Amino acid sequence: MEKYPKKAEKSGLGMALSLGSEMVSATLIGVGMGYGLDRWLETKPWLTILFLFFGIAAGFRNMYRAAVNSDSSNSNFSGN
Amino acid sequence: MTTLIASAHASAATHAATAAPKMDPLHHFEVHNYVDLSMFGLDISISNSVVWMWVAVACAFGFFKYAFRDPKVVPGRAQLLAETGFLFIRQLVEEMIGKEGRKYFPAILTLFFFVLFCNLVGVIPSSYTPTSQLIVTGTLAIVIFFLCTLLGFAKHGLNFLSFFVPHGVPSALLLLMIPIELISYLARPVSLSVRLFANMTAGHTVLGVLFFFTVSLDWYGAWVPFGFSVVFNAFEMFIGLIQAYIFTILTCVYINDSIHMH
Repeated sequence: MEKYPKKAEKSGLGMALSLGSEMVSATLIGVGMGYGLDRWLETKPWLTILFLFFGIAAGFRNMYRAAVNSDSSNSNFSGN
Repeated sequence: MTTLIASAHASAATHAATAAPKMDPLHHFEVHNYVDLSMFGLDISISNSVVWMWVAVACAFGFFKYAFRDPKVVPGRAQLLAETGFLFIRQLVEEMIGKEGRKYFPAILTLFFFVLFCNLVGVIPSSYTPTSQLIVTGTLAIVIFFLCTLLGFAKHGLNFLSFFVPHGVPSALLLLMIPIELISYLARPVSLSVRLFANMTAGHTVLGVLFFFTVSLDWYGAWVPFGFSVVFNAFEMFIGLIQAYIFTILTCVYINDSIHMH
């Protein structure tokens, strides 16, 4: 099916537009989880702070994954 | 959108002596109930959001009915468009999921055309964009998220939990990596829904502001924002298509993760 453009070409712009929300949502989920655990275990504010950083790391992980997924030519770094 | 102009005109007329038209670019995101209904304590009222969702479904149904009213080997314009959309999604599913993806193709095709037509009916003046409500996109995303998780557990049993343990990582780092993987998995429905909702809301807010400028400026200034609003309407259709496509491609990615795990 050569009449369709390569995956990277047709989704590149769309993926680029979507990277910001990956970062925001993962950070929010991290903070939410930390806050919930804090309330449950009564360890305010330590788990919120810890999970904030976990959330940011997860955001970067998702962003990296999305960027790699959209670039099909670069299969060396397909990771997992 | 016409409602906005009309209401701005109306307020301009009533307050002409006292004040300029009120700027309210979020006016057209308001949900009005046409029929108040409730069942088992749940609010199932028929609102403008619901009605325009029906319109979107009817448009999608009507489009395919019209396109294939008299199918030919050499397709006409409508049939060609419908076939291109069909083949486009089928190729996407095969590319992202592989042979096992065939089973999920009808669901993914339905999802794509539902989101696409929900985005596109919003461009009609005085209409309502169902996908500009977080509850609509959130419901879609959460359903997809739970179905993908269930699919993973159904295919792999408890082995699916190893999805959260990245391989090739020293065991000392696992304490760090497992929460990160878990959060990045839980963030999927959030980013999936917020992306679609934010794109639709932002685009229509820009259109609202442009139309406000159009009605509030005099004739020699009004053509500038009006011209921009025409360009933005076309851009909004493009964004609607792109966002429906991203929603679908990410659903395919998640299904693929559930089936193949990495």
